[in-house]
Amino acid sequence: MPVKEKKQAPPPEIAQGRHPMEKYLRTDRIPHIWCAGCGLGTTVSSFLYAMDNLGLDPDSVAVISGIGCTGRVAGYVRMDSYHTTHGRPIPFATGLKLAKPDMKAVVFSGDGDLFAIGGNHFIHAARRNLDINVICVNNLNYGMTGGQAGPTTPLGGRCTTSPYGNFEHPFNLVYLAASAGAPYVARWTSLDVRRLQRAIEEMLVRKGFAFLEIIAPCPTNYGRRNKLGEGLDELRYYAEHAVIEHGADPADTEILPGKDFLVGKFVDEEEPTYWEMYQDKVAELEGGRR
Amino acid sequence: MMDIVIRLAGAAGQGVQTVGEVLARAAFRSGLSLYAEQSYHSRIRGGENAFALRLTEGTAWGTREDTDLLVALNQEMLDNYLPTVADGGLVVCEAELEAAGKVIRIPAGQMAKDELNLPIAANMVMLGAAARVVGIDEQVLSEVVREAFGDKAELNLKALALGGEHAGKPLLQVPLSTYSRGERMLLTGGEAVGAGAIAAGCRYLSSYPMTPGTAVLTYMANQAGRWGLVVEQAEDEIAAINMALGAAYAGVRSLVTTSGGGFALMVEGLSLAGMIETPVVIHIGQRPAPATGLPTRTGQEELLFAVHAGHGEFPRYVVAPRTAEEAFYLTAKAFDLAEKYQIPALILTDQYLVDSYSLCEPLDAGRVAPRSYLLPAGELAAMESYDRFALTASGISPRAAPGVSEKLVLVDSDEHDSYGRITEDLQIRREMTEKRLRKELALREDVAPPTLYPDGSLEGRTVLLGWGSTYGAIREAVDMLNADGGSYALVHFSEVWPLRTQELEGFFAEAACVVAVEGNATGQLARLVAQQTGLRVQGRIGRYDGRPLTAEGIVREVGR
Ligand code: SF4
Repeated sequence: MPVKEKKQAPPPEIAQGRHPMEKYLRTDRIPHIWCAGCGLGTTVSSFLYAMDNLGLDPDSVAVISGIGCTGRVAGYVRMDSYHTTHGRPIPFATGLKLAKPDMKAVVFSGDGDLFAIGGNHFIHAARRNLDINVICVNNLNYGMTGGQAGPTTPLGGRCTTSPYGNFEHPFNLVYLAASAGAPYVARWTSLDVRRLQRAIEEMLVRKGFAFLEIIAPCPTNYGRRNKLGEGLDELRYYAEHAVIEHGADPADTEILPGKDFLVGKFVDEEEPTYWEMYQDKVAELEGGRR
Repeated sequence: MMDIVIRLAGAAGQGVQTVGEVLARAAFRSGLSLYAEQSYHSRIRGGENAFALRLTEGTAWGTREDTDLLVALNQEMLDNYLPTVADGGLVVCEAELEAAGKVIRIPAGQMAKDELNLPIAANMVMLGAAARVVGIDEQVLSEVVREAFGDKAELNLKALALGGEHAGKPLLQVPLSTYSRGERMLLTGGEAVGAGAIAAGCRYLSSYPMTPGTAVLTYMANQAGRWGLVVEQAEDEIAAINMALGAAYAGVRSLVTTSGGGFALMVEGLSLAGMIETPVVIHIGQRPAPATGLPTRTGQEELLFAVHAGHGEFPRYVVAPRTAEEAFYLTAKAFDLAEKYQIPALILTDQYLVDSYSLCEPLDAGRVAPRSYLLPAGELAAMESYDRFALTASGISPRAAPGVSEKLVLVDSDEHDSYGRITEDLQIRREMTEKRLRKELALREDVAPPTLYPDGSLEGRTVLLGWGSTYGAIREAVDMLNADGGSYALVHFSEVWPLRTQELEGFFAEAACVVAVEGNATGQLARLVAQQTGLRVQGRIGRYDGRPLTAEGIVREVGR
């Protein structure tokens, strides 16, 4: 039966509203479909500012998304982009990167897409260590399809498919990525726009597989069902509970409802990448032939 | 005959569905014959969200394309649906919107803000106004709102009253009641599939969310406490179907629900079900594909996929219910036949059927009470030896649950002997293949024939051939065409595989011409019929823009 709606109507559209990063945006696709108070807008902005700060040519970057609210990112950036089927952005990015190594491949997708249906692809990509950036916006549930439980839904979390509260342990994405071998692992909330930007800049210039988790509010679904208030209330919660601790042991980064949790850069290592080893092998074989 | 269509339209997030449901329920409580259809964009905010409610004195087989009362919550939807407003039709909309014609403007946003301090209640103000204009019993409406909103009802009731007052006097007239309370049920196709499964003894569901299949997952999750169901949201569809096969192996009736894309991932498991002869029921809520397609729209694109999916050869049963009522009974039948023949059974619905509300006589769970086909533990214990895949005349081997006696229940995805042991013996391979396929002989006899509407000779008639949820639209089209002096009939399949061919030969021989009417671009039933019988339709009508076929649309196409 009827559900209570969000209290606030969306803000009025600002006529002739411009975005400072317009050059990277498909302005004809704006206004976007995301809810007021959603964390997605700021994460996209941080990404665009990072691009800008590095002076990256938009033609050198491909954005690949899966299905879901975050999956729509690919549709808003003025870059070569691919909106894949559900769960498959990482394999697509892998193929792209292998065939066109000089193009940067940025996967932008949600927790359900990357860690439920796409979970297998994620761990293998982390292990493979190709130069792929994976940005996961974690909002604790499936937003687009109306708020089903997902692989990051906290214990007890109420979702349309967990009306009695969730009793499956959620993934700690930081720990998962680190244990699967990802040489770069960071986590921030969607409130930390500058830190996000810096993290994305680091990812864009470094070698190897890089993973960034962005904790973001979903006031329309998870927030509403779990009485977390408006988007702003959720952000306030994150501001109060996120504790920065760079280099913390990924095993200690679990997120528990009502408890403080760690954000920061947890892993930043140099591991030989797939592409380096591949090139070395090619050079060796060619050398041998000659 | 009174027959009105009320269309509520706004953006996602404006509460169109909530308001529509309340209105439909109030009409239902008032004993009105109704049908309600939902159409929405795949997004959480903005876009289109529409709810069409038809009230009639006859049987409502669907809604209509035109509108007697348009309730528009924003300018975009007003512009979008204004062309559908019939001559003499009315528009109720937000005060600041622009529209020509007979428009009743309600400053709903203003009123909700100023008088209730609850801007979100604007939609309830509009509902109050719409209900007044239509002449819905406001006592009943308040009752429904009270139930729906519980302790938050008071402000919503005030909102209703404000809207009603502002609208003034009723301008339309509701049809006469055709039933009293308790004589009908109001349900969606999605609820019907879930209820049918529970009535048939299903106690297990594992699935991954995919619109429109998710409706059944959500329904089952919410019924879990009441019926003792296990509902597991898997990490993907591959896991979902394999989990269900595990539960079915344990002897529990199991369901998975998905859409075409998710079913694509399940195909390996489908073939496994065929090999290990373990029953499982798969609900596929169809939506336009390929790939992600149009996630929240409707279509009939998976018939050939459902019938042919899976590597290797094994029997299956496929149904495509025409209404929510039939979805209840055919879901139950799918469970029964899956158990009886130890095969996978597939239910093909679509977004249109899953999300639409229709009326039916109270569902009779007694009619579908589950019969057990499992070998009772005592019998199993008394057997000298137990061969899970014993070669039998019918092809059906005794199926026992594991762990109920010291006898082992062995299943193997490799080819196996009658005991369930892996084998590469080519003679056994042949016998096992034949045994599995033999089950289809008896299964064919359990499949109901296609139905004919209206009854009588097909001599000189044009047959419209359909399947699944298009029944209502085609049936109404036949009535319209015949009322206009035409000579048409509907031949309709609700059980599509194994395909009953006997009757088809008669229909094709007798009819002047056969035209397939389907929600796809290539005529999948027509192709299946040709493949199975060599009979070819003379014409095809297809709709594949993501919206359901309508009676008016079919009549237009026939006229071309
Ligand atoms: S549903 Fe949640 S994640 Fe999706 S746009 Fe709305 S707030 Fe954001």
